[in-house]
Amino acid sequence: MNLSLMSLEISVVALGLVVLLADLWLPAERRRALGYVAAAALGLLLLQNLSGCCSCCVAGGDGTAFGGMFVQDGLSVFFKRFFLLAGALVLVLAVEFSDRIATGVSEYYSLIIFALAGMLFAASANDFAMLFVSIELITITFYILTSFTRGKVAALEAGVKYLILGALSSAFMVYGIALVWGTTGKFNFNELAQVAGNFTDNKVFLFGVVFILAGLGFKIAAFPFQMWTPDVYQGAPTPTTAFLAVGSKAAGFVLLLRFLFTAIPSVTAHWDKLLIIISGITILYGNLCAIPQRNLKRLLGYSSIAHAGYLLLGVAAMTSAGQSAVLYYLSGYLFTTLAAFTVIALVMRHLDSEDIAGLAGLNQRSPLLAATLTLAMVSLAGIPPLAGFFGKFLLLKAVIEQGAVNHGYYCLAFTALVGVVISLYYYFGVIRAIYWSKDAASREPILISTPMRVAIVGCIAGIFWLGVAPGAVLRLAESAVNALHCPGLALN
Amino acid sequence: MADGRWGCALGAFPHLPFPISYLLYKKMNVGLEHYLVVSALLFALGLLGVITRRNLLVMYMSLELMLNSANLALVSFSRFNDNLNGQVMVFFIITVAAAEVAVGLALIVALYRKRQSAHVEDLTSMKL
Amino acid sequence: MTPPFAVIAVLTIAAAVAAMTLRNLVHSALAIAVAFIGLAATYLQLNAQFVGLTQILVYVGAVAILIVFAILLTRGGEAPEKSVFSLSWIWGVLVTLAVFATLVWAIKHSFVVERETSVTAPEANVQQIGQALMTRFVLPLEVIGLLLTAALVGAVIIAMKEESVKAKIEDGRSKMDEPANPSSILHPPSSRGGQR
Repeated sequence: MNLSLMSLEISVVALGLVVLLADLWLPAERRRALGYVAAAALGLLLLQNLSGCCSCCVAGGDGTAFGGMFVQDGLSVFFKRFFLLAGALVLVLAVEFSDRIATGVSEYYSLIIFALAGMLFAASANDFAMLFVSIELITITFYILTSFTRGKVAALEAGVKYLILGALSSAFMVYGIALVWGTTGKFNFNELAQVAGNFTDNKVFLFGVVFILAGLGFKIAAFPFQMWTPDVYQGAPTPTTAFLAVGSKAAGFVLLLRFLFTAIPSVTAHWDKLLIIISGITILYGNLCAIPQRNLKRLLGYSSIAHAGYLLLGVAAMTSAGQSAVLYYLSGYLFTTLAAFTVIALVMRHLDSEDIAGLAGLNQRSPLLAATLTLAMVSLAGIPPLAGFFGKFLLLKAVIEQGAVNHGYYCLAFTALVGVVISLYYYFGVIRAIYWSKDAASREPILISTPMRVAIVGCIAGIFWLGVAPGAVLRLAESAVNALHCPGLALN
Repeated sequence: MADGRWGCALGAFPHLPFPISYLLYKKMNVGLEHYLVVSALLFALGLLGVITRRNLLVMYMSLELMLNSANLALVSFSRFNDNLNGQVMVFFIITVAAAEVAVGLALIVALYRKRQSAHVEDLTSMKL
Repeated sequence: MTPPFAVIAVLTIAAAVAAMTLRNLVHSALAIAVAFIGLAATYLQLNAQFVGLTQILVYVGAVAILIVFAILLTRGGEAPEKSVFSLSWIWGVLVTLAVFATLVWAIKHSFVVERETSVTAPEANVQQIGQALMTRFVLPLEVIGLLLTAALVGAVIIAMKEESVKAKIEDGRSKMDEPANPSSILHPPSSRGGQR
């Protein structure tokens, strides 16, 4: 048992509790700045993790705790850094947003940190019990974060829809866990991997796996489980939407990768067709439904479904090249999506709805925000030389390399390209609204606070860095994925 | 076991629907399958409630029923596999279900204050 | 002696069917409580006494009561005039039948446990469960504690009345942040149901 492996999680949980309790002593006007303190603390944890772990990854800082339930390997370290960065940026955005929260600003911050803790646990989950409780910690916290602006009917409606569909998917997942555990008697992924091969023709086991995949598919918003996405993205407060788009989706992907490739590799190997079909339909559905949207957050909701489909390309490829492409694409997606939602939160501050028309005249009101949103859209569309392009390139390369095995992969690559072409239309609709629309509702310049400016510039730098100099992150992603395939960690 | 006798006594009703008659007639010794079929039936009933009912509260009840059916499956697997870990998982599920219900009912009450309605059709402020 | 399996199973399923079909919400809530009790009896029969008693405490004691409270708070006690089923019920029935049929088919066509039922299975006592919770499963237990904290905070925040918040701000005793945009505090409609 090794508690030092969990020092990061313990610090984050403690930070959340401190923020929750600080509310008691801080005067009301100081409470808003608590978010900056929390974001700075997360940034420090990230820096400490980056400096500490570069040496310990080589020197064998990996290990397991709690009987193999909690695993610290390259993959979990990669995702933990990802979640810390996302959490810090979202907290900065939440401070900007806090004037629209009527009650409980510090509770909003601490719930974001609790959701972040759930994501950190999810990154290390190597056991069905951990998978279940960490995914529920994330999801239940997000039900609350979604409805936090409870003065707005849309937020409450989004929360109720999210809760019903989320609870439905967790019921499926729990039933799946019951069936898988019942047939194999194993909760631990490594132990399950050793016996899963004997159960490939056991129908109850296979149904259990399908049900668990349904629960995970809900988290990442893949095709048959995507209904909640547009409504929740639209109704939720913007920082929540941003965290949902980045953190919750990435948590779903890390669990999906671990489940498919660590726990049941012998079953996954037969399911390439299913993954290909789901990935293709998700891409087409997201992109086609995004075309008529006028609400910017709803549009990004559909676009996030499409991106879940692109990410599934890498999962469907079933090679380590595909999986490292997923990790790389998620990194680019983090900077791009957070940049887009930051701009939306700042520009739409005084508007009731997030209609695209509200972007009119942004070019004059704030050139920085206009440039940021343009870059984000261009990167999401996948145009060189930005992060989105290189990510899509890696994913498609991984899929086409597999084409020799199964010709379905060529069809899938073609579908993805069609999706990219469709997406150009609506992403450029947003850019057109920024630069070429006449009737601007307001001409006053938009004020941006210094921490916000730092976050925006950081996101832009990230988008360019990942697009132009992919080497460092790609190497990290490749070494992270290795942990997935050779879980040679002894169970203690 | 006494179950056989009961099964025969209730078997006097010949037109029972399939799942119930299955439970009653195949009852010489109660095995894992029987518990699993009951659990699957409860799961399906819960799913039916979530999809077809219009009231949000009934939908929550149905969701609870679905989680309960998973608990039943876990407990019966745990009994027939001689493995206690399943029962531990049941405690986690019960806790999560309680937390979900607390948040969900808070949401319904808050929504009712705004909307005077707890029906699914009234959740329409965000249609395209 | 626990009553035989078939009786409990039929009772539970009948209660569940009733909960899904009855028009009056209070009747539905009572039926679901009966289904929870039936499940608890099944757990007792399965030698899982601790789970069975927890089931009664949590589901019958807390969840069912909470649901009844919510019904009263939302004036759901009156049976609706319109149909209680949504228009797409036929799809729901089809999906449900498909899921159920495939599950039963899978259960019948696969070996679920290799071992024969051991009649003298050891009773799962509280001590063993407690040991498992505190040793092997202690990390999920802690995460569950965090989850309950988050859910508690969130449920209070969401269900809190907004006017009380506003009154506090006006009294100058406010512990809450005053919103920059006062119109974001909406007045609830006058004929509230939550005012009982």
